[in-house]
Amino acid sequence: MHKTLNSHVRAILYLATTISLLSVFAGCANLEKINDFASNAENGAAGFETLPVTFQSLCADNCREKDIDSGKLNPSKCDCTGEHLADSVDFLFYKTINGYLAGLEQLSAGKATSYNFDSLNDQLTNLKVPPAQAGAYTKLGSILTKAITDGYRRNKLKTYIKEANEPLQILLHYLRSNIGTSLMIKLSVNKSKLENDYLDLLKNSRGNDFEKRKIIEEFYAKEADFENRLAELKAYSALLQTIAQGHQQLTDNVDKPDKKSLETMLSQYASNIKDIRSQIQILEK
Amino acid sequence: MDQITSDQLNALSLQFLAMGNALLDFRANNPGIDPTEDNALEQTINELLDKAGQLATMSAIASGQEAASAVASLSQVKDQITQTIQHLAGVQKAIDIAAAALKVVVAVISMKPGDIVNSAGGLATTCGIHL
Repeated sequence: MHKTLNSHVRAILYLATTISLLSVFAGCANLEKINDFASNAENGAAGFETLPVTFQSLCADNCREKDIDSGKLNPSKCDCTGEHLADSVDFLFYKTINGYLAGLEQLSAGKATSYNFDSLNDQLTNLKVPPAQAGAYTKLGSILTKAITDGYRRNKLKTYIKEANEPLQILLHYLRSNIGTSLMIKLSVNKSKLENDYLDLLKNSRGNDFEKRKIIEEFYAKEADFENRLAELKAYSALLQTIAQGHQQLTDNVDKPDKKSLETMLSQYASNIKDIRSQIQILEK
Repeated sequence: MDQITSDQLNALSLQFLAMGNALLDFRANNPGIDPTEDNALEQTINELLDKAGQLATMSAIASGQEAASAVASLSQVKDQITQTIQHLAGVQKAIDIAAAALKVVVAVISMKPGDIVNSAGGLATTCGIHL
């Protein structure tokens, strides 16, 4: 009887241990996928630092073209204040988004975060950030700070993800709109101006057919360069959208018991981000 | 006053880019334009494109709140305005539309709601569109 009881206890203990281990493994696998997604998202978003154009660089290009048109040898003073501000706002939001993704990566790997939000917070006061975006920025910033000071660990990861989702979505939407729409419009404007200039050049050219052909060839080369840069901005914008969708799925499913499907989804988003990064790298060459 | 949202500024910016490009196509496809008119056309194209660029920059830094209804109406007729320009018989009509369009964008950039409404109405009349 005693022996039977012992064997039962052993069986229950074994089962309990097995279930616990399975839960731990399932949890670990989940964390691994979250970590993989966060890592890819962070690396992908870092493409911001190598974007082919900024608002300010386009403003400077525009000024230079105007100087060339008017035959000036000394460059004019170029007022790009608004463009500088637009770049600063984008940079601030990019740093916040990447700070969060880095934090998510660290926490899902069981490491402490070491993100310094204070330096960015100072910049916010110097910029005229739209209220909705500023709210999202401040909220995400405070979550980051909490993650550091409150010692967020694995058991707090779900809270961290759920609290961060809304402000993260706003900032990703804003950055995507700025790069995928506003900056692309500015680049398209410069491309159209180039077309107008070359049209003018061709109309006024008194050269022979060979010289006219050279003008057209030069225009096509420059136009191709514009198209390439536009494609890069479009790809980066798509990458931000994939990060946003992936994080939304993570938030919606992080509490659900079906871990396998969450893992599959996260793997898919991580893979999509990798693919878009590869596309961007090809365009950069 | 109600201010314009980033999305609306972007929509308006795209509209000016489209108008600039429509005139650009017109210029490229009509090599026999009188040189004086051609110069006016070239300047107008550059002005439209400049304004498109300014609006795009503004959309990146503009503060939110509700948009001016006139701007929203303008965004809705973007395609009609562009098509009108593309189907113009003469250059002068195209320049008139472009000039009316520029008045709207100047009002938007200076954020004067009354001017936006008036200039939007003027643009619609010039294009033969009822807002």
